[in-house]
Amino acid sequence: MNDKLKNIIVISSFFLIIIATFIYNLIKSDLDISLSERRKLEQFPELTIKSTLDGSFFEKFENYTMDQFAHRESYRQLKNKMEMKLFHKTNFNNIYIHDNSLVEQIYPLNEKSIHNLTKKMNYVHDNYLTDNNKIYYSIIPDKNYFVNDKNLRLDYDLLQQYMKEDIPWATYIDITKSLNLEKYYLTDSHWRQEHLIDVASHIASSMNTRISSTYDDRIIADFKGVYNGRYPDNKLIDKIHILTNDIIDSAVVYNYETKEEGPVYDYSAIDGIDKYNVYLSGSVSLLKIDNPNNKTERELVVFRDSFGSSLIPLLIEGYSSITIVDTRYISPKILADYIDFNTKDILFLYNTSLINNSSSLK
Amino acid sequence: MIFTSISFIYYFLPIVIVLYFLIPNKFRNFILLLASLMFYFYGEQSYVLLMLAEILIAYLGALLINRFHKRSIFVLIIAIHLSLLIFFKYTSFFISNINFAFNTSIPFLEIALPIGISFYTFQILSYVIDVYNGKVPVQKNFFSLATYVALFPQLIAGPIVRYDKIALELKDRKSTLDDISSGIRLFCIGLGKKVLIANMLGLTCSDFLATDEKSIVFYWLYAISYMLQVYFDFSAYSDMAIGLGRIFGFHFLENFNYPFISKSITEFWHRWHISLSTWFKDYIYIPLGGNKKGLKIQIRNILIVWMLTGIWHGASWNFVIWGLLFGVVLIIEKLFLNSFLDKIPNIFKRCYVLLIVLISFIIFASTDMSEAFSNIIGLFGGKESLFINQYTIYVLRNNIVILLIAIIGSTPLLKSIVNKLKSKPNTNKIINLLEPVVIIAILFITTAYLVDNSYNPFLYFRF
Repeated sequence: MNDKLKNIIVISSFFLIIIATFIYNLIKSDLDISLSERRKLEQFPELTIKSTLDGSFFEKFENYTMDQFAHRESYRQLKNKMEMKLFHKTNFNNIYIHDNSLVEQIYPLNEKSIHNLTKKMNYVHDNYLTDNNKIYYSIIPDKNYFVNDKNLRLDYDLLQQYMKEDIPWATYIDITKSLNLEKYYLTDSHWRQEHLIDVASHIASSMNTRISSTYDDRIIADFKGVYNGRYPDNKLIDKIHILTNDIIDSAVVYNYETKEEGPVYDYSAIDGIDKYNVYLSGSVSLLKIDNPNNKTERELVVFRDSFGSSLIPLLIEGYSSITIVDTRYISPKILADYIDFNTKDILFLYNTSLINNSSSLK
Repeated sequence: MIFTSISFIYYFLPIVIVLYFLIPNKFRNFILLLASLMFYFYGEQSYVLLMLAEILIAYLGALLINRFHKRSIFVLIIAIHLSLLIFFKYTSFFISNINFAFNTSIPFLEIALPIGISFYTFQILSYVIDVYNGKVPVQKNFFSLATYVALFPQLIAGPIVRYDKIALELKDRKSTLDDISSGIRLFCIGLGKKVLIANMLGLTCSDFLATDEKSIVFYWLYAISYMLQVYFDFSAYSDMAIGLGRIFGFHFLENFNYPFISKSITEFWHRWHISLSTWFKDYIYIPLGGNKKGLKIQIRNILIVWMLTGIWHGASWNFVIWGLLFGVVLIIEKLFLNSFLDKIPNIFKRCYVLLIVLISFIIFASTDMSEAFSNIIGLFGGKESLFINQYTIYVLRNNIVILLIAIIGSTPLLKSIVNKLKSKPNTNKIINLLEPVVIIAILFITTAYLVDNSYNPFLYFRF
């Protein structure tokens, strides 16, 4: 190829790409949401004299051009591929693949966050709990706990030590031996309910109650979890299972936010962005499950994060009622308005990711 | 607006290119001016008026200077532009120093720094000085002068284009196939240097600054990464600016010429930010007497120039010290070090230059001198006794490839290989075949990074 021909090819291909992309971006219709990233995409901003002069139009337009760029998802995959294959990074957006599972590197250990969590737990203990309550806590390890490769890991021993020192009034239930990487979704941070029977049995027996291990396992949907969008160059897919039996089916869940009663599993979530919300309707501040089949009058209050949603249904059999509190959405200061702690068992159930980043707790 | 953004590459640039090449020659400056004002307005809504006012003052001032040849007019015009630069850039610096020195509490004026003011003010000053000295004819067309000052390729981060270098092209220029093609190549190379190398090195630096888990190796990794980041960041912007200029028929001078292969600091400053160092040489150093009035005056002149070079980079003492460090080293080189350097192998000369530059950029990067001191002694084990730790290994492992690419890319190795291959007809054909592929690949890959972007600062924007 001679120099002139090369120049013509360089010029025509560069101009063609930028001009054709410009035109295509103009004529293609904009998307409302990014399913993989689970977020709303920026829409074309309102063009007014005010928004132009104060610069807000241009700021939003900048985000709009990135969010609505033609074939954005393919470009994100290309970036992912470049980082991992060409630049030999050990993770992308802190996510890496291990044993065909997307794992988040959570690091470093945030001591302040741990103490923030235990301070809030101590508030609950000091203000609501007495010797009449049996108090337990358990730590749900994140997926990174089970991997020891080129990426960084939290100092889990130190995390446990801080927890033990800060909340000596609670009994620790160690569930780590009942878990491994396979018990978590491939594309999400959460654990899979269909693999939690051992964990639930262990927690139940530690709290001196019993649950059966007989469930119907039903697959209700395909599922791409939260890590899928953060590591776009993957073809992994999960399935949402639900475990049911007569006890779970007959339990009634009262939602304090909507003031409505409903079943344990919210099937409408299958059509939503996060299908994991099928378990106890996802992020809800306060729920109460009544189990008409349990006549023992044993009651449980669980302070939990989203991991609790899929586990707690398996504990229903052991209690006549379970109250579920998510203090990311409700202040502990007003709990007395809704909960009589009296002689109830108390379980604090948090995953290490939240423990290490507890700023969202009220 | 910045070059490394989707809005620039896939919205602004295609519109400007289509309009520019479709309309007749005589309207092209007008299109470039309109585009440049829009480019500036995108990021600086209110200060576009300041820039236009400065252009108008320079335009009228130069006409008056040309007509009356009065020193008082010249001084007034220069004073106005310098005052505006000092007011917007250095007021807070002065107030904080007065408050510190006299224990006062004068409130800060909260003035935002207009983007690119240091660059366009220096362009305006060079024009006015050259007109006063009779080196260039006065520009009678306001739009031509405005196009020169506001030309978007070099408006906000240089290079500082001298009026005499593009005066003819402002009047009459042609965009040849070779110009446009090489302009596209330079633009895409700059894009890749900035997005794929500088930004990643910047993330290593951010990791260092954010962690308490430092080690001696991490101090070195940070210092090397930052030095390379500044080079790739700024030279990338210059490449893109020169490339864009060439697409529109302008030929700006090179601003960087592989500075890290220098064998002395004197040589380094002939290769680094060439447009700035020559500006200071021509408009400060030589008018002050340069090296023609004896050693003492020369030393004074060097210190003045390098103090100004430092403070030009930012209103902070670390920049003053950064500049003076170079001034002192240059004096030492002139006094006796050069004769010693001549006798030692090149490898030692280069190590000496790299060490001085590395330490200077630690000062450059720091928010205050205590941070700079801390990061410098950290290199030699003065902060951490640990040679290396797990976190350093992790960061090193994740950045070793980009670091090696950056080190190789900062030398002329690749360029000389390509030139050698181009010199032979057979291999030239292969290079010609590969060039479009590489250019388009860089465009697509950088687009992928820009679409999914979270870290994209231009270090030299703050100047």
